[in-house]
Amino acid sequence: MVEFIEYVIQVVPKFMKYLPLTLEMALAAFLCGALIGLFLLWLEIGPGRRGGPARLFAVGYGIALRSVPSIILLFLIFYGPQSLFPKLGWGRLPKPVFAVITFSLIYSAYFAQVFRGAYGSIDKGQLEAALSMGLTHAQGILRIVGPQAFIVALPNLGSMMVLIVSETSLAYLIGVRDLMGEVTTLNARSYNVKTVELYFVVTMIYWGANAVIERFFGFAERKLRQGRGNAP
Amino acid sequence: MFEMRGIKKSFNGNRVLNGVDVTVDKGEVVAIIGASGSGKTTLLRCANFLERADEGNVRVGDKWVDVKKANKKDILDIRRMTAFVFQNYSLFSNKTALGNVSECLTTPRKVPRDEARRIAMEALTRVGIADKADDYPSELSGGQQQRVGIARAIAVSPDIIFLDEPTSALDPELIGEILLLLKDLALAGATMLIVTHEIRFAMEVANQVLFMDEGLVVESGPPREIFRFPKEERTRAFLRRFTSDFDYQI
Amino acid sequence: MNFSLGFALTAMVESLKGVPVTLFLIVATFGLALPISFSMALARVYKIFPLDPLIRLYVSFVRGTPMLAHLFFFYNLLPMVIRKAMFGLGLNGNLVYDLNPVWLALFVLLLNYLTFMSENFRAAILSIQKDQFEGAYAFGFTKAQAYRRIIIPQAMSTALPALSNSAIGILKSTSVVFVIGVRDVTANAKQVAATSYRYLEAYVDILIIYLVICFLITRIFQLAESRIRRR
Repeated sequence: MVEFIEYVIQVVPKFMKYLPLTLEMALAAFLCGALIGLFLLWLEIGPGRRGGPARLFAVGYGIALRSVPSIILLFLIFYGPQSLFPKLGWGRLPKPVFAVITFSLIYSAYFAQVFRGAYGSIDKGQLEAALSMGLTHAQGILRIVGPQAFIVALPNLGSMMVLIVSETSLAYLIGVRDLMGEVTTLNARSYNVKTVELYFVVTMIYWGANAVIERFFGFAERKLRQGRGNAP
Repeated sequence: MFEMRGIKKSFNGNRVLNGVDVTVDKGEVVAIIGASGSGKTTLLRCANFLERADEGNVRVGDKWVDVKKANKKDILDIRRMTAFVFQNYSLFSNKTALGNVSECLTTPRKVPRDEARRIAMEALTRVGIADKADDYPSELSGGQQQRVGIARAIAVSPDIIFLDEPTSALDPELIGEILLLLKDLALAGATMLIVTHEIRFAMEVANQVLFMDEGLVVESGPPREIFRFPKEERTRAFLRRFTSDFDYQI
Repeated sequence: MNFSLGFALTAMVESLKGVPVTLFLIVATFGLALPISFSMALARVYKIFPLDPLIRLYVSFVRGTPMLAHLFFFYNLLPMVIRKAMFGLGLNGNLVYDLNPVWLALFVLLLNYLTFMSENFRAAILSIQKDQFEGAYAFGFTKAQAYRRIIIPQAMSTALPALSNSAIGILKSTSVVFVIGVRDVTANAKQVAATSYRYLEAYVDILIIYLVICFLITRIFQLAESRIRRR
């Protein structure tokens, strides 16, 4: 037991060097995914969209991307363009980029869902009041409805970030040296006798990082809600 | 037949019932009236332990239960001797009209399935919606749902039926027909304890009226006495607000 | 352009051989998780000590850590533990090395989806109106009777859409179990791809397979929903 604890303490700093890469990939995917998600929502419910092709595309995209296993899309994005257009130099991009693209695409579908729910939860009267005060539709959305919907969406955005951090571990399977990838290196260096310890440590680091992220989102929600009344 | 003695109940330190006594004899209809917040619904819910009173005794038939000492079996016994008609119907949304009635016979009372269906069908016929037997609650109007609620209550042949404002969730044009149905039941000899705002109904159907205020029975007696010659000022104040409601024909 | 239809067909035939394993994992995980996750949901709804805080911790752990890590961790830990235990009991512990990794995959999938499905059920139970319980209690149902006859049927139909999402989640998660040597769809495709260096065709093939299975799962749940009349 003492030996176990000693080893854990010794190995944690080595992992910590790779935590930033994991978090950077997750954050990049989170931000890009959110942007694409907003765009999808705009395609779906923007003004004058009823039944149009834009809407159909957004809905179809959502269904397709929520059905694809992340790892398969990751492999496709990593290998696909490379073998279709070898001259493009796609394979020379840094590997984390493929992970970011993959998770942005996948989670954009979920982001669109979360944003749609949050947008729908805001009373229609809010936009009508804004319009009646002479704001344009865009201003009404950006300045009145958007900020309120954002607060409603926060808890779900937090869960999403946690999921994305965990999912980035798949990037190791295309050779990214992140937290998960580091286990393989350290494992080889310790002649494969510390495998269980290494996976234990890496699991705990993910858990710790995600606990901090959850706290952060909880804190942000409380801060933003202050003085704005209590939405449901 | 049915009695409650010295019922007291608090919610978070707020006294809602302050020692209430009620007696309902066999075949009698007792109506409880009073402003909202007077504790009448809580009293009814304490009668079959949907709410547990802090103190007091409840008797159904020969069974006396001290609410403080009542165990699971006592509560089940009381509930299986009584029936409850809810303000919001509270029908089982996963059962048809027929299923709602027969379920209360087969599951808690172990009546054989065929027998239960026969009794249930009889009850539905009696409340006039046998043709809706296979419909689910969501397919029925409020009035129809409350008919099923009443069918459920008579089908289990209870010693007493508790009714908690059975018409207050209904559209005005449906209230009359439900009250008429309840009047028929009363004439046929059903024992009922009913919380209601329908003064005219209480006047015509009840044998006895209890007026409650602030967790106490302030005044009780035959309806004509209470409504024509109320002794207490609180009763008079309450009735003045309700005189405009005297216009439902039943 | 470099996409060989012929190879895509060959790879498809190989990948399809993994379908039974993938389907087995989905059905077994979902089937085993149903009763256990429902019980977990009840423990949480009724705040049964110490189950409630333990389950909360467990849910937080699974949500906050990658399944890939669980797979590797238990793949390395469990055989070791079981082997020792078997020797301790006087059995031949080396038999553990003949264990099909599919059982480990099932264990880890179950570990993960118990949490998701218990949350599905918890939300469904909490969404049932109080009056459904009161209607039953007022007519003399015991708690168990009320659950069996009234609450569970309603919770089931309310939970179905969420359960459908969980089932699709299980399908998607099975695509990772090849890392511990399970011969599922993805493992077969990867193998064909690696021997010929043609990755794109193989991955397009399994994409199609996953989309078809996903569609089937969605359909099955839609049918179940229309079967259990939801009102």
